[in-house]
Amino acid sequence: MPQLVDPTGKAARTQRSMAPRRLRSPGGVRVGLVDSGKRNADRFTQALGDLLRERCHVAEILVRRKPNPTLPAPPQLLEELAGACAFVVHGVGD
Amino acid sequence: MADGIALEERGVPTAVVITEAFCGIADTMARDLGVPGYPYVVIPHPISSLTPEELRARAEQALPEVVRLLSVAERRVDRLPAEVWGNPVEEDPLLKGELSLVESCYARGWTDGFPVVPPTENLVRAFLARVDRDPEEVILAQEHLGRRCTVRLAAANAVMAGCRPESFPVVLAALEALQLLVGDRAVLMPQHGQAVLVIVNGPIRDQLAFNCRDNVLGPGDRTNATVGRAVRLVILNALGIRPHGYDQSTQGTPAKFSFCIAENEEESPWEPLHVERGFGREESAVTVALAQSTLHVEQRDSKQPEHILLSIADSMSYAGAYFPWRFGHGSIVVMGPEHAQLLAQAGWSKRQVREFLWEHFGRRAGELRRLGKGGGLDPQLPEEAFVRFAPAPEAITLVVAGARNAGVSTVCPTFAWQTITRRIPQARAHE
Repeated sequence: MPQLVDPTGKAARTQRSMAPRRLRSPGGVRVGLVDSGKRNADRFTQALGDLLRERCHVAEILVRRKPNPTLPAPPQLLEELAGACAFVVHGVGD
Repeated sequence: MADGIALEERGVPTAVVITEAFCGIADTMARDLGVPGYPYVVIPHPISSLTPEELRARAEQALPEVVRLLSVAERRVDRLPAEVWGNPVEEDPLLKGELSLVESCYARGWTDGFPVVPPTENLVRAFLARVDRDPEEVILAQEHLGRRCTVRLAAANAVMAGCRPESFPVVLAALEALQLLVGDRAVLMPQHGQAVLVIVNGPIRDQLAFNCRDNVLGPGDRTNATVGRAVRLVILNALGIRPHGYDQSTQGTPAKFSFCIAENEEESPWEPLHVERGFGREESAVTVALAQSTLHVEQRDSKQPEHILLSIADSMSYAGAYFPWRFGHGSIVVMGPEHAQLLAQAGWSKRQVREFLWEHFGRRAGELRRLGKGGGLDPQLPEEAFVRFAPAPEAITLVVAGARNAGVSTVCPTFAWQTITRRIPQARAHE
């Protein structure tokens, strides 16, 4: 049987890890909230932010909206969140 | 998902919330980005129509899992099969004989549903010999998916589509135009199911036997069928944007199998599309556009220019074409030669036609409200105010194609109204 050329552009598949979970709860720390920019995502993330403050005693919430819902967030936004927040909540993929 | 994984890589525990409709795409992306089984929080779909109270209830539902994911790095079981699209090879002797290579392509998930020409090393080499390009050069990429199409991958997919080697430069030019058109935007995978329309102009139409006359949007001509199919196979295979994975089309369109036409320059009264875009008449060029569907426009009852144009504009403006988004809509008008000639004989230039269509491409505010599509309108806007769907006349691409045998045209609605034209270099001679 002749050899076939694989026509798929397989993704690089470099395996990556998740961030270590060092804190047991978001109480007392700053949490980033990313609004995906999809319709109603702002209201949903805001409601989630309110709950995190009321129920989990999050110290501060940093809200950021993605400039374009169909594109990955720009690196500056990711760096800002990574520098300032202990946790991030991102929503909503819809 | 991509943002969540990028934040995790930067050391920040992240909880990504998605609706249940997107679990398939989320799992595929997690695997492609190297974190198979990356956990996320699922809420019921959709959220776009919910009231603030309902949204708050969804947030309450999601909260415990959000808090859990921030404190526990526990992956989901990656339920995706090894090959998302693989079909089982049946134990039929025939399939092991004459059809074995074709079946092998099915089994590997490389087809659009139709059989493909098996992309053997020899065939791919023959295609690469027709272009003066580095086989490893990337010509189309979707970086947010980590996917890149090289010249070699494009050749393999053009072979599979059934192209002849001399058509390969057209496929490459179309892919380069597509890259300029989409950039990094995720416009090849949305619910409204964009097809990629390829329009060919210039002498190459005759050299490669592209059809620009009767049945120009239908089956029967190898060059049209295979060049259009090659572009789709690249999207399916090289970019990995497949049904049941990244392609989120709610319904899709048959135009996603293949969608390639040539302009009927000989029977058009106006300058061809590529000349309008600054190329010479003697040059060959390819234009790519995104389109949701094709809509037949019948107008042979009247020969009056305004009647023809209003029938086309009305077809461009059907209720389902409208979606209130900030960038506006476009339309590709594939005008039949009979309509074009009647307009030109009455003294209409191409520019005047496009401006007239633009002025009448839209609906009255009252009609949009009656259809429940007035949400994006200024509440003060009077009922009789005309809402234009397109931002400028340039959002309408006008091309003449088809037979000169009836007053028939076609319109193709699109959300991404820009189109890109590229020159097609001559194929290298057969060695």
